[in-house]
Amino acid sequence: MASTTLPQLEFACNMPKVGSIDTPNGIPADKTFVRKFFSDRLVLPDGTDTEIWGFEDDTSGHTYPAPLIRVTEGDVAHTVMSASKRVHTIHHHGIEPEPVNDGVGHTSFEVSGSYTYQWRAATAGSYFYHCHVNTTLHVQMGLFGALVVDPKPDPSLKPGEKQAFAGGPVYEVERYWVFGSIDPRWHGLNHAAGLCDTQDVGLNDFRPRYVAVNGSFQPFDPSGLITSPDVAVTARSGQPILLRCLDSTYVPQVVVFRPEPNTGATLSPVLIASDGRPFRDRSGAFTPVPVARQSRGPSTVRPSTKGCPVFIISSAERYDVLLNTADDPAPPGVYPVEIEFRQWRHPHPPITQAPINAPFFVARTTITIT
Amino acid sequence: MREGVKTGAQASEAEEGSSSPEARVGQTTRRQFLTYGAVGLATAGAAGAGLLRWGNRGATAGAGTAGPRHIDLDITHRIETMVDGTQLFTWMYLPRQGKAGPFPDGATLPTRTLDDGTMATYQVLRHHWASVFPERVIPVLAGETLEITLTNNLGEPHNFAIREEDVELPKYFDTGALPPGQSTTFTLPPLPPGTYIFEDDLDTLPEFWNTPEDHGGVCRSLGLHGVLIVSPPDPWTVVSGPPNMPLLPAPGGEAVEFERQYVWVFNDHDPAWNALAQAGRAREIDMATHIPRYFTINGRSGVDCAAGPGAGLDTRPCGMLRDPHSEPGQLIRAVNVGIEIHGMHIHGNHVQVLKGAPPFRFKLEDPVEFVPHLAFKDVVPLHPRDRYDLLLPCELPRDAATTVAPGQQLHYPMHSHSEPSQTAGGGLYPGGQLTDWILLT
Ligand SMILES: [Cu+2]
Ligand SMILES: [Cu+2]
Repeated sequence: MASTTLPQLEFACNMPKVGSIDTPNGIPADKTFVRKFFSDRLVLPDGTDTEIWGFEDDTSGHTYPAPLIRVTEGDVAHTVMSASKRVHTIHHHGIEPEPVNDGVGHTSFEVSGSYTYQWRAATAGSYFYHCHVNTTLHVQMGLFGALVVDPKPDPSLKPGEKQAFAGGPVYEVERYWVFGSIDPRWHGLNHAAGLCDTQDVGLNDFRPRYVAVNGSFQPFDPSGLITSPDVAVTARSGQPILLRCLDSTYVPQVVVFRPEPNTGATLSPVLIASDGRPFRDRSGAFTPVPVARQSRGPSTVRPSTKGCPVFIISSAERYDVLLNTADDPAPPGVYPVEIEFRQWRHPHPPITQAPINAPFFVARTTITIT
Repeated sequence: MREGVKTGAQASEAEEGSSSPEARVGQTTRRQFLTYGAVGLATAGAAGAGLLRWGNRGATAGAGTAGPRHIDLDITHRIETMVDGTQLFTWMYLPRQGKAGPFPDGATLPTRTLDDGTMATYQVLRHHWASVFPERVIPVLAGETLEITLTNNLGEPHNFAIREEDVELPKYFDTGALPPGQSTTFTLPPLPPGTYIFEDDLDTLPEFWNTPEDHGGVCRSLGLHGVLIVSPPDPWTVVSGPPNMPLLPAPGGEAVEFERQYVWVFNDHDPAWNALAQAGRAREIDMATHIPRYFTINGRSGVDCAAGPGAGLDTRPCGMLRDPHSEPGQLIRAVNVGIEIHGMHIHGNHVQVLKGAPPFRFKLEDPVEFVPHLAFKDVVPLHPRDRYDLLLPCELPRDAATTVAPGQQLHYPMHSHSEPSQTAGGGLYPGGQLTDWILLT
């Protein structure tokens, strides 16, 4: 069936590759980020562990996902990627440099040594970075992280106030929620699995069994919560909260803002930007979009989301969510937030392992208003 | 190895040939721009004067002057070769004239052909070089009457329907089930300008198939689909608006000018389904068994979309650098006729969402997908039956740290970020829904 002359095989196997080369037109950087490949084991909530790959800098240690890249609008950034023998790249997703710095093999080159990706952050917003070699596998293995471009500081802001973009609303409390999931079946594969032959390695079939926010896994416990301080939120009433959300998986998530269980009070989040671009009306003025309240009734496996603000985020999208503003303060209380991880249509894993909508297919955390 | 050099050269020639005031009559004089973000929008009012017709700009061809256009479509099967050489039995609405003939009537096929012969049929709108369509596209002008004779040459009933995803909404059109061997002739109803999917949707009816989990798509994904483009009176515009709502012209819609237009049809194939269809057992297909192994854009994957030699002009938008404040970009109509959720991620430029998909639901009671009107996105989620009109501004890559030199061809990928869709036969990355677009600086 397949032969060595198959054009797709040549395309996949013969991506341009470099060892270590200098960046064309290199200029001094305002910010430099080191991202070195590593592999390690990650402990999962059922006590098993699995191989992961990641990018670390000189001080981060081995984290899943990789450390945040954060720059200010106008900064020239250098991302120094070291691949450690096998080829990798970094694509700064949503950042738009010339192809040589875009990190895609077939439109530039893959890197086995070290390469400095050079880019200038033109537009404030929430972004993503990840390896773009055999992406299906390499991103699932953990070669990704969040990226934020801040606007230039506005001198008229009060201490503690920040903006997601120039002219935008202020926030004081911020989280970058990176939704992730793991299909352990893929985690023993070789770097080049499915690249240079027509072997079926199953990368068409993604069946995640563990779900996480910022690498903190949802416990296998129906009432379990993700309580990590980089995920769970605490703010004073009226102290504006910005939640940057990223779907680093290959399937959508449904984000549900539940009412405060004791008072029945609800949050009123608004979406202010997506994919690094603020929502604007035709005149160019910033226009937030309320997160719609849903009318879904109860189902056999999930409590009703009727009346809850809900939005869907699909693979690699980013949405910036603002809530608890001074104009619309949330009453004190502990508000649950649920992130439902959806799947493709194909059969789900055995019911004893991970039925759809089982507790561990929903990540839960809280927003505490004091 | 890269075929894009050729594409770029062709595009450059065409660019020179049609950027003169004469060749672009009507566009330069009536164009008005509002500044919205970084993209110019021509106002609807400004688009009203001096209506243009495909093929005879400013002349009388088109709506109502030469009787209804007529095309014959045969519901039939064929064998398609996937990017790893696997052959799949698929269905299609095949124009009676075959690949060599005009489809639709009056369309002129390009005089240039690629020598490998593997490229899908594509067409250029009459005398207008700037629309490069894959097969399975029927363009009509608003108000134009199109008559179709449909013949079912397969062994089970099929239909031709135009609808939204939501099964509770009335369909725009449905021939009803056409038994094997029978023909029917019908006239397409007038539809508001926009991008539509036509398809066999009989599998949404329990009497025809296993009751599907939700909204069907088996016949559509097996190949009985196409894209109907209804253009406003000025076919070099697209009407923007909030997410498509059935049977309602988009409130607040306005005509947005574009330079060229492209259609990207996303699909996925589970060969087990194709085998069942080939065995005459398509009715046994159960939606819940879908494990796709091939992922296509305009029927092709990976190297055949992105880099040649089989890569066609239809998958690779190409354009000169544009000033987004004063020059129109390239229109991309993206639809998902497959079974799974895809998400088109474009490198190099964000795209402006001119018209979004209908609200998608996994199940009827589910939350709707949030689709902002006139947003700029680098990922556009494509749920089954979704349709988007997107404007690719062809602006400078804004995050380049140093000046981008003129005279370059910058290749940027576009691919689905639902990454299993980047495979073929379970591996062979990047052999799925991947293509390039080309910016000529
Ligand atoms: Cu990699
Ligand atoms: Cu990406």
